[in-house]
Amino acid sequence: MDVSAQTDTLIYLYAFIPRREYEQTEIDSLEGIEAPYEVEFISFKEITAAVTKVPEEEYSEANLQKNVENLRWLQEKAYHHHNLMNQLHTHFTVLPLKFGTIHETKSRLEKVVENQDNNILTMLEQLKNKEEWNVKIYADKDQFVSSFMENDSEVKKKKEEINQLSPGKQFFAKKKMNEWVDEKAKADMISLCEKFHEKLAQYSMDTELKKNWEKKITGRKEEMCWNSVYLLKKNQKEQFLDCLQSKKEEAEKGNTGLIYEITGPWPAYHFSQFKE
Amino acid sequence: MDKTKSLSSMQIHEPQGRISLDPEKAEEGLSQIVLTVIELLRQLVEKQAMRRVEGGDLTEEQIEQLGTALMKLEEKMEEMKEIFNLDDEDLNIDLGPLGNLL
Repeated sequence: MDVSAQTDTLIYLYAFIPRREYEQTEIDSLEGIEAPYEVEFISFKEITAAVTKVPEEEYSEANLQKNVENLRWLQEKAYHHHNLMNQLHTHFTVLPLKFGTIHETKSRLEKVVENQDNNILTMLEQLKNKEEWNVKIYADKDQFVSSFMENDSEVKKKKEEINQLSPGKQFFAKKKMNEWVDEKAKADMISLCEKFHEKLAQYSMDTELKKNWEKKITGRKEEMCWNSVYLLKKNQKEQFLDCLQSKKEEAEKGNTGLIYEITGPWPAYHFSQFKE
Repeated sequence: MDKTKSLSSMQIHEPQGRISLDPEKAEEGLSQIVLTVIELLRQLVEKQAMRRVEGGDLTEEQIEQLGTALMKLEEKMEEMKEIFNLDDEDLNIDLGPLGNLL
């Protein structure tokens, strides 16, 4: 099927994959982002592009912008994009492109690939046999603070000192101590996360820190205090995962108030900044 | 016993960071507003008092009196929250980009 044959459709580009891998792999037909179009593979010299046709009336620059503001539309399409990328990633080395990467014609796409040939191939080479994992750490603040208060020797000392005071003075001393505890616990929490991140980084080819999400997005009552992604070699991920698993168990047993969440494997979204 | 109570109140009062002004439950909404304002004032007074104590311009006796008064005020506030079935998060308002009120 020739993608450029019709004028009322555009080309939606999912990802680049190495041509050799594409030719060596049998893959079932995959549904595209807009039915009835399926995912197609266009091969260039050494690179194959995974694409699908999309109707121009929905995906031209102005219309896409409008559609993206419709949350329901965006959710459905972004889900497809994400899902399809995972499917591609199970078969090939994938250089994933951003949601909504559109080319008007096959020849435009060809030009991009020609111009970026080396760049794309280098990135594909770097991403070969690698995958991305995401670690989020949530903190149940009350639990963390109370476990901190139980275990910190300075807190014990301060408490004893406060007990010697008269009731009115105790009030101010307690407030002061609570402020101190809050700050100290927060610093402790960050340093725990940082140390753990450094440990995980030892098993990783690359890492990237991400912004913590607000509760509105996570839908959890615990606050997110760490969010980072790791690029791992597929055959070396066991150590990374074991390290996480033991940390998770340790946290649960010790009632530390920290909750570790790991997701993956993902295509290397954060380690493939491809710009046309 | 206590656990069941707090669990059921959690289900009824999902903290949303805003005041609920349902016409059917005007009383509840009103008590939430009033307590939110009182709590804001109480915390302001407390902060100011802390500043004075740390500033060192109060006598031992004044510190003792102020501390006792604020402690009682805090206890009273806890009782009121219990009576109106509100918790700390109910007495906080999400001011959007400005963060939370308290």
